[in-house]
Amino acid sequence: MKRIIAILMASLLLLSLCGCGSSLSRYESIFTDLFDTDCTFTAYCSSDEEFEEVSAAVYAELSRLDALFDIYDGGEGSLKELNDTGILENADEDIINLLELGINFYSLSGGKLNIAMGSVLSLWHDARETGILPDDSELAEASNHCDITCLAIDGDTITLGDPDMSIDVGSIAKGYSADIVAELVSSYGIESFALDLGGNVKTVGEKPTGKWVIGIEDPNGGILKTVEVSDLSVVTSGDYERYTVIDGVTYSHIIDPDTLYPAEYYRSVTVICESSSLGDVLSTSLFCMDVESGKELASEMGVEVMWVYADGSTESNS
Amino acid sequence: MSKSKKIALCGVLAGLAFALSYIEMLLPSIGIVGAKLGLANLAVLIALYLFSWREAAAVSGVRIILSWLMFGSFTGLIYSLCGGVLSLAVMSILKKIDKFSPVGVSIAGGVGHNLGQILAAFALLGSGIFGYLPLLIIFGAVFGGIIGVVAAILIKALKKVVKADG
Amino acid sequence: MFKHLKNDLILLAAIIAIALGLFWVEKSRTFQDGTTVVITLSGETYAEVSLSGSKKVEIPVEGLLTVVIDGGEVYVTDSTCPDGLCERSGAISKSGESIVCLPNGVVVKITSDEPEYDFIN
Repeated sequence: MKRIIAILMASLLLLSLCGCGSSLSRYESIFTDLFDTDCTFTAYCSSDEEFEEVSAAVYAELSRLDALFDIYDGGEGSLKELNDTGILENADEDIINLLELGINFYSLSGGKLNIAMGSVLSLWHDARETGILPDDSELAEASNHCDITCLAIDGDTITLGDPDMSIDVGSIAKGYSADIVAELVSSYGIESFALDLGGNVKTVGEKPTGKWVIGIEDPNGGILKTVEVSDLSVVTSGDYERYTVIDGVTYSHIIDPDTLYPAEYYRSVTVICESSSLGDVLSTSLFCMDVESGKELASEMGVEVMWVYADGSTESNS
Repeated sequence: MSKSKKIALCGVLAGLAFALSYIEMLLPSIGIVGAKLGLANLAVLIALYLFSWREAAAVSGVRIILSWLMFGSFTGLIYSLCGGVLSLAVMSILKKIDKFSPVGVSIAGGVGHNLGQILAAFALLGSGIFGYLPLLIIFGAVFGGIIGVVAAILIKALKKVVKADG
Repeated sequence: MFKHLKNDLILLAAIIAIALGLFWVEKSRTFQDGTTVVITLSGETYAEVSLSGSKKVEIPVEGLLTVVIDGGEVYVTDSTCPDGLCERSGAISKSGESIVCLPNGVVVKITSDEPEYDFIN
């Protein structure tokens, strides 16, 4: 009996030693040439080789998605082709899924999220490049070509019913891509990792030391609030991410479909929920609506939200 | 010594200090952040021994402002000021207690100068810079010592001249 | 002239002893592998990145300063500072070590702590 106990103890000791041997290290890759922002992939892996393999796969997949959704430099089969020609045949599954997400959320958000307002957004895109504000008459004319019902998906063929309309998925592509890439990383057996696609953080599992810590930026400097999460996405839409200053006035990149001007309710809106796609579409929609309507939508969707006002004060729904 | 003569001498010393900092700037740097030979301290030391800490402060102050106007940046000015003030304070006190020769005073001044700069950098940049502290102390002491020897010789000679001149 | 020579030498010895003591304290807590690179700009944390992997962080100072992290080492390139000391100070790899660029107000330091924030939104 004593001998059996001794053997048991010894094997337990051995097991615990093995446990120490396979400890995980933190790895990180930053990609600066995708989605017009900085993308960070952080993972806990057991070896350099393991991380490098996964990281290369992450980069390849992000590049593929970025190329599909790119309306400025995208190639064949991309949304640029759809915008240029009005039709996309044999469309990639990811494009169809993303557009369907956009169409579904158009009504859920009461029209505040409209992926068919590319014509308006491109005027603001030009404004950010040239420093010259778009004409109100130009904006009004462009807004006549934002009818999302003209976007039709039939099998794997996508058509635009209005030749002057164009699709812009800038507000939802990063969130969707993070979800897709996260599935890929999980398929490699990585259990603890996070993706940050420019203010769009998706975490999977916990770090060996505990939850992931995400700081929400104070637009006036420093960190406003710290959130600790695991298996959740934290998505922030903020006017400080991308903007232009014309004649001393700051114009952010998030355009309210109703006013055709940058939304000015808040400095930032942060959504915490499981799906990064949902977080992305919601944070953009909420950025463009008053806080009462926002709270209604948030509770309908069952997500946690923090609104940050210009003076640095905050409001949350939990 | 007449007041105007004293002022003229202080002006010469300030000019010397400025010229020395210019020479020091031309020399290749030692390769450690914040480490300076402190050549200009020679003129400050002479002023301290020929007159008092007030004249030394004037020489040092004029030197710092001039270097800033000629080649400096604003942060550079802050570093120089903190170094200069601490260095002069330490030297004045050590001279006052009369237990050290100009060499000892200069050693303490050199260390004080580097400490002052590190403190300014700490205030501006945070605690990351403290790793350099030991090296900066040693450099300050060694170069301070060398400059102190030169200063001691010059002070002795100059005191005679000033006295003879009445 | 050198009447206080003895006192001077005692002072010098004391100062060097203190410096060596500081050296020893610094060294004794330095030699361990770090995990995180903390970059501060004018006293405020600009970025915290992991020491692993390979990446470049460009610091928006007047001109430019690039921090390169590669193979567990950190060094500075492309600095537009006048003295170039930050580039010449070479690579650091151990916790507690730092590279300073005084003209640009940049401090790059390695710590063994996990970063305070994994991400900042």
